[in-house]
Amino acid sequence: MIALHVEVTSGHYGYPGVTQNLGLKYSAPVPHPSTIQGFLESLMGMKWQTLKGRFAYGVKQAPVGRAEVLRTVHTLMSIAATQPRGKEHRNEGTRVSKVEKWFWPQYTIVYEGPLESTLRASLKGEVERFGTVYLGESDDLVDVVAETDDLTARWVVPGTSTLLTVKTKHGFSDLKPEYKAFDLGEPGPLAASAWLTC
Amino acid sequence: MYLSMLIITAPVLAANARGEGGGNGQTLQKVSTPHGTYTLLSGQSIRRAIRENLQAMGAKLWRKSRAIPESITGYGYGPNNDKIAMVDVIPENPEQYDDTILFGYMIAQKAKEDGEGTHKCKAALDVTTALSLTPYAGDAFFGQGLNYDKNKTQDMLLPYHMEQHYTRYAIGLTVNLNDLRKRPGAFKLLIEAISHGLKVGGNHSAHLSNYDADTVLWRFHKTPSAEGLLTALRPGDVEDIQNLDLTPAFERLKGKDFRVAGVGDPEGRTAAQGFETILADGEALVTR
Repeated sequence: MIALHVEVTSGHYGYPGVTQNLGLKYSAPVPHPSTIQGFLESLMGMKWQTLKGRFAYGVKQAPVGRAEVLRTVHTLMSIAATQPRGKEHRNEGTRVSKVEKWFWPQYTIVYEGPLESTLRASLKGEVERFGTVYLGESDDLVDVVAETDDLTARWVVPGTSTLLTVKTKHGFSDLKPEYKAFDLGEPGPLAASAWLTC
Repeated sequence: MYLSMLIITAPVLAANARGEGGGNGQTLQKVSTPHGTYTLLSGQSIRRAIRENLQAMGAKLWRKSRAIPESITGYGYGPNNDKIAMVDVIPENPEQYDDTILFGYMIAQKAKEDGEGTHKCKAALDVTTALSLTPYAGDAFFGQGLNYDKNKTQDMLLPYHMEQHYTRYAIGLTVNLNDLRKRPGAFKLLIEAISHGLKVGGNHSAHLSNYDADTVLWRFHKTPSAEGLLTALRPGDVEDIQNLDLTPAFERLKGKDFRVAGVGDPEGRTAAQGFETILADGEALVTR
């Protein structure tokens, strides 16, 4: 088993397929299990949804700040009125969108499975991987990821208070995530019920 | 291999990175913390400012702003700026452009039977949301805007208020140097674009602000994270933005491998000199 202490600059844990033309794109209060699995796979340079074993995760420190960050998002629009050349294809536009972001949360992630040694090697940069490491959106860079032996956290456990995605599909044509209900437990040692199988 | 930087701007009267606003008020974007309310700059607005600098520097860009005025976005794509539909343009050899390498791109379309679907290229540059070093106290100034009645027969001056915040910002960035090996020149352009000062946000014609780098902390690392560099400064750390004291950040980074130019540099280098060092060391890595 290997436990990781993770500190992030910010976090937005969106719900798959949810877009916001006006108003606010809410974030889940904690990363989704599918996000955590993707994070572990990214750390080890693995392909999407190929991780074997099981993992658990919890909140080590709650977010210190919350913001609704305004930005523009690209969208495809009908250009009948805007296309000066009469071509029949879609144009791009931008819309204003706000996303809910948490600032400086810290998490504990525990993994048990055949890739523990690979995970340890990845922390030293000894694994070939791609891109930077983030948890949430690409603006939510991971600032610290280190092995720890401190297993006290508020563990994400099966419950009733929050729906989180446990599995997502790829691409824009097939958005059927699988949801399950979870609770955020009281601070304490790793709970047996917190384990999630990949 | 990665380069992570924490750039601390010189004091700036910020009024440009606006939020949603309310009524006739132009508001700044804010984050609420137990230490107070801080203003922020979104990663998107910082990337946009870097892109604008790259365009002014003559970098080879696939996507250029203000290229096609009649387009609703003003952006032109491709070598001749003659495309205004992103779906028409799938850049072949994205490595030939500086912005596709640095900022990435995605053209979303439904997957076809032959497997062709969304085209995308991951950005080599990631930018965090930047926060002010001191809390926002509610400062604002008033301006007047020209407006017309609905018949456009009579003009009138309408007052508005604009929030402003005199502070410094801490901007975190991480660059994937492995990606830039495909186009090493883009690294030099990126560092120069950042070092020239960034006009983050909009409305600079009414309120010109340059978010110039005053101090830069950086590390080159093959570990996946910056090991605390990007969050070295926390709300409540800084009280005096004129006489900046980064002791809390240096305490958090004690024993860690990082370098600094500007405030706290024992060699007394300026941020500009720091960027020269970053450029020299980074170019050696992307061309290796």
